[in-house]
Order: sequence, then structure tokens, then C-alpha cells
Amino acid sequence: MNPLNPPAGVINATADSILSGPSFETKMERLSETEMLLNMGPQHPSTHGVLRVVLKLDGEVVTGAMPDVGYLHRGVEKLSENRLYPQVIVLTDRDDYLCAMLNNWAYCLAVEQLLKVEVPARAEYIRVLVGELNRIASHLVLIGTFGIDIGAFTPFLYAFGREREMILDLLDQVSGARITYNYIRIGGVMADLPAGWTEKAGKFVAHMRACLKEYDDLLTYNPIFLDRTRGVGILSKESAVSYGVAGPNLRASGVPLDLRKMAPYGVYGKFDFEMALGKNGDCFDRYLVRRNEIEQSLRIIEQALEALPAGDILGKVPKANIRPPAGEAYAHIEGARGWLGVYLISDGSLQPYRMHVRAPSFISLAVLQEILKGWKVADVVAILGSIDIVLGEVDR
Amino acid sequence: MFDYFCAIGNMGWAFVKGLGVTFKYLFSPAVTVQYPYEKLTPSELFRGALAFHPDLCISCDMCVRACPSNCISLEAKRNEQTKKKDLQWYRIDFAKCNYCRLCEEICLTKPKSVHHSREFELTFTSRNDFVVEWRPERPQPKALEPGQEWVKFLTQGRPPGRRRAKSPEGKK
Amino acid sequence: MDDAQLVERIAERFGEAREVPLPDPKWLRPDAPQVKVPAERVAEVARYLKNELGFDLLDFLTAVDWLKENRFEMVYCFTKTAEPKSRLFLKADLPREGEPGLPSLAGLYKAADWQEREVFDLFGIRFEGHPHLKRILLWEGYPGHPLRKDYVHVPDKYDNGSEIGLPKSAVPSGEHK
Repeated sequence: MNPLNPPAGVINATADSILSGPSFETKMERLSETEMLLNMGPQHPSTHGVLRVVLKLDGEVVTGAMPDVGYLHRGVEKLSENRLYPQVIVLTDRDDYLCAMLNNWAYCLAVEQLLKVEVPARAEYIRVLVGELNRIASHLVLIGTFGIDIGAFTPFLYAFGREREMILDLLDQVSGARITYNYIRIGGVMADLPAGWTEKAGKFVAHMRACLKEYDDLLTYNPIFLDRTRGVGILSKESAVSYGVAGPNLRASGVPLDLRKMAPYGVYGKFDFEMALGKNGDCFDRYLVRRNEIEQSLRIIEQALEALPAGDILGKVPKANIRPPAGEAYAHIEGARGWLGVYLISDGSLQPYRMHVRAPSFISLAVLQEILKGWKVADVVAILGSIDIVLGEVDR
Repeated sequence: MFDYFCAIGNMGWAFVKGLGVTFKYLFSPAVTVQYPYEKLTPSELFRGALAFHPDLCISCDMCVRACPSNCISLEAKRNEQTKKKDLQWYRIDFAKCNYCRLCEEICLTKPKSVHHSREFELTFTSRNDFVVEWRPERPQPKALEPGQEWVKFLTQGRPPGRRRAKSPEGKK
Repeated sequence: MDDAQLVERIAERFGEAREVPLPDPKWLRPDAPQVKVPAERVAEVARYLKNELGFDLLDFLTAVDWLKENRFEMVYCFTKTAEPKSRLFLKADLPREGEPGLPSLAGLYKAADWQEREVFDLFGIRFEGHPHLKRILLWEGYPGHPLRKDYVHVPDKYDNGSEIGLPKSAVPSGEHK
């Protein structure tokens, strides 16, 4: 076969080619007389990017689902083998573009483990500040788009267009970019906080607290929203653990597991906050955990602003030619979508030998093939919206 | 009968409440900006289009190596008299630049010879135009059209002593 | 149970299991025990870890291509939902020649389902017993497995002729008229 011109049927995998061959529990290889296939995506507004889900339907009931990913694959892991260590941070920005700070952080933690460099206290606090702000921004996107998926338009305008913009403005003043920050660096952060930033952040915390009440009125106590989400798409404790969805989705199923609390990295051990927990693991719980997590993040930000020490922002790291000693490192942090891990192998050269990203979206998307079964087509959108994926991270 | 009027009253109150929100926003100041007549001022650290100053550059190749997307290239010739490298040409492919600030950070000269400006309106009409070249003997390519302020920013360099060029008629 | 005891217990049960030796004395490691087992026993060890030692969460799995030593190394990271601080790395070596394969964990941990497909896609390692072993990120018929170190990129219509610097065809537009 000519690799330059693969036959059309190969490159454009049809529904048939996905469904042929041995199949996992979905058992999609054979359709009964009453069943049909529905191709949802990749250009579907509620798949949050280029995700394609092949649904097997019996009437309106989903009897099988097969997510098809890879439309956004850029080969970040391969690219990073050809980049210098600081350059890889730029690539991690593009993994999960809704919380790029946390991606930077996970990668830098891994490199710092190898370099054994000590991060100054001020840098640690700044990391917590920008990381939590970015987590709130990411959860706000979920709240906004989840509402819009279900039909509530107004929360989207508030969450996405008002509060998230404020956060992006704050992060813009810190890093100089709105989405792809490249801010958290190996050994510290890029720049110190600009003058007056802490006051602005404090003001934002107060504003966000008031806004949460607004969201509660618009979504949390909204009877239509409750009817559409409560009891829908239940992810049981056992299957959540088995699928490895660590993070807000797992906490929504009632498993208390939060790295910030149970295995603190950075300075998280010094903050007083609670773990947001759900009970049933349905769409509403997954929403509520995020909503409560915003509240806890605000608490962390408040405490970090108060305790922010003075001092350096960058540890003792060479400016050019960062060359970590040979070895392997694994750093994982509590990302906005789950555990965000970076497994890094260095062979002592200027470039990573291997970098693997444990992408939380990729892992929680696999759940879809199980929890969609038995629900109606309209619920597919709600369930997909509630597990909160970013396709940039799924496909990497 | 009482319930009936109660329902009407509740509905009326809901209207008043809902329209209250509308009127609140009607009389609060607008947040939208009439671009291009009004512009927001980017933040102090804003990473806009790269600007380069051929007169400052010492051709040390650091930015070329630091760039993650290989958008910078340069050629230098060794000057036997001064024992330094003279810049022949310096090119930035703005189509590849991803505005990461690594080249600015690594730049050895003071003030930086390559740095982010606060220009956010960079536009080109053809793919070849994305590749911008600077030469020391021709330091200032002229602006294409009077409206295209950015060409001045990126190529004329900043006035000595000032860190960054100011954007016109800043608001906010 | 501390790390050394853990490794001992696994070694007791599975004779071939042993702590992964350091490739060189200065090699750095994450702060967690690492156990190496023969590839064909991975599923048994994982079952033991899950059912008897309480490692109920498969954090991630991936592979590393050690081209010089002519082997693939599978890396599994297990952890516990009750105490995420305790981690265990399970490693297995595979030959690079032919069609390397090892038993799948998809029946034990559903997290392995997609991640094994990813490893199959990018490394070409087969997982026996995987229910749906197909490419996941790249398309069917993609030439080669990109994360192998000896993978050679075949230029296609998306390459503009040069990987580094400028496309040769581009005319620098510094000369504004």
C-alpha cells in the first residue's frame, strides 16, 4: 500500500470498519432488525470538539456506543522527544487548553524531580494561585457548556463570558497570554505577580462567591435542569475505579480521592479546604462536585493570597541547556479533569527520552461506552457534557 | 378564586423580577468595545507579535535554538576586524510562531534584540508574507499602507529607553 | 507494609518477580517500588495485586522503547484509592523483533482497555485477550508505529519540504516596495 495515498476506505474509517472485528462489551458487530446506527460527530456542537460517537439505537434508546477519537492527534509525546526540556512546556499548553497551567505544572514537577531543584516558596504559592484560578476557569466552562447542552443558555453567558473572562484577564496579566500560558517553568514560574494583582484576585474571589449563588438559581435549583440530570448516566463506584477515572468524576461517584488532600504536592498541605463529594455518580452529582470545587478553590486562593511570602520566583536552574540527570520520574497532580500525570524518562541529554502523559480526559472518555447504554439519545448529550472532556487532551 | 389571583400575582412578580435584571443591565455601562475604533490595552506582559532590532543583535543563535517551532533563522558572517559576528539576515516565520516568549527570555542583549511587542493585529494577505526578513543595511522596511501600524512597531524598533511601544489610543 | 516487604511478598508468590535493577548507579527513580516480571505473567501479577494487595486503581500504563538494548519495556503504575501515596510500578520486558505481545489487563482493569489500544497503536505491541484491539489515535492502515525510536517519518503532502527553518520555496517578504 502506498503510504502517501491510502485507499479512501482506510483513511476515512467508516462506521463499518470501526464496528467490524471483535468488539468489547458494546457488541456492535451485529445489528438486529429494530436497531440502527447513528453517527454523532465529529462535527457535532455538543461533542465539545472533534469527537465522534457511533451509537447503536433501538428506537430512541442507546443500546451501544463506541467513541472514536484521534481527530486531533498531534503526537505530543513524539514531538516532545525532539524538543528541549523548556520547549516541551509549550507543547503541554496545547494538551488541555482549558487548564494549561495545570499541564505546565505537572510536567515541571516531573522535571524538577529529576533535577532535584528546590522551588522557592513564593513560586509555590503563585503556582497554587494560578493553578486554582485555572481550575475554576475550567470548571466554569463545564458549567456553561453543560447548561447549554441541556438547553439553559444564560449560565453559559455568565460562566463563560463573564467570570471566565475575568480569570483569563487575571492570568493574562500574570503570564501575557490568555489560554496558552507557558507560565509555570522548571524550577519556578516565569514572572512575578504584577503590582496590584493580589488585590484584583481578592476582588475576584468575592465576586465569584456572589456569582455562585446566581448559578445556583440558574442551574442547581432549576427544575428542568434537575429533571434532565438527576439519576441520569449513573457511574457506579466500582466501574469508576475500574476505569481509573480519578478526579471530580470519581468523587461524584462517592469515592473520596483528592491528591491535593491525600498526597499533597507543592504547598497544598498548608491549606484548609474540603473535598467535594457526590453520592450517586449521576450527571447532577458530577455537576455539583465541580460547583462545590469552585467554592473550595476560592477558599484555597484566599488562604494563598494571605500567606503569599516574598522572595525569589525561580530556583537554581540553568537558563539554557537544562540537562536533567538520567533517570525516570512520575509526577501527578490533581488536574481539573482528574489525575494529570507525566511519566518522564531522561537519558541525560537535552531532550526527554520519553514523555508519557496520563491524560484524564482520555481515561474518563472510555467510560462513555458503558454509561451511555440504556439512555435516550437526548441524554447522550447530557452525559457527555457532564464527564467534561477536552479533545485536545484526549487525542494529544 | 383566591389561588387564581395569587397565580396572576406571582406571575406578575416574576415579570417584574425578570425585567428588573434586564433594566439593570440596560442602565449599567457597556462592556463591549467598538473595535476597531476603540481598543483595549493589552496587559503589560502581553505576548504580541515578535519585534526584532537588527542593530542590537549579536548573532549568538540562542533564540534560534530556544524556539520550539523553528520559526526563527539567521545568518551571520564573522567580521575579522572586530572579531564579532555580523548579522547578514534574520527571518521570523510568523505563521509558525506560537508566542511562547522563550526567545525573548534567552536573548543576551540588553535591551533585548528580539522581544514580544504588544501588537495583536498582525495580519498578512499571503503565505509568503508571513516570513519577515530583517537586514542590518536595510533596517526599516517601510509600512505597506498607512493603516498598518504594526509594520512600524515590528521593524522600526522601539525608541531608546522605552521598553515597549505603546498601542494607539488605549482604553480600559 | 513498606516497599521492601511489598516487593518481597510479590517475589514470594511469583518466583521470577524481582526488583528492577538500576541501569546505572546514578539512575533516578520515583519514590515507589518497582517490580519486573516476565511479560507473560503480567496478568497474573496484576490479578494478585488487585485482589490481594488492594491495588485497585490502574493509574496508567505505557511502553518505552529502549532501542539500544533492543527491548520494549511495559510500564504499569498501580495505586490504591484509599491511599494514593502508595504506588507500585510493574515492568515487563518485551523483544523488539517480530510481533511483541503480552496478556491484556482489560478484563481486570477497564482502564487498560483504551490505554492498551494506545500502546498498540503507537508501539505495535499486541495484547492477547484484549476484546477490541484496534488503533485508537491513528487511522487503520497508518504506516508504522510512531513512538518507536526507529520510526521514520515518510514525507507526505503536509510537509513543506524542510523540517527546520523556512520552507525553501518561501520568498522572504522583507523587501516591501
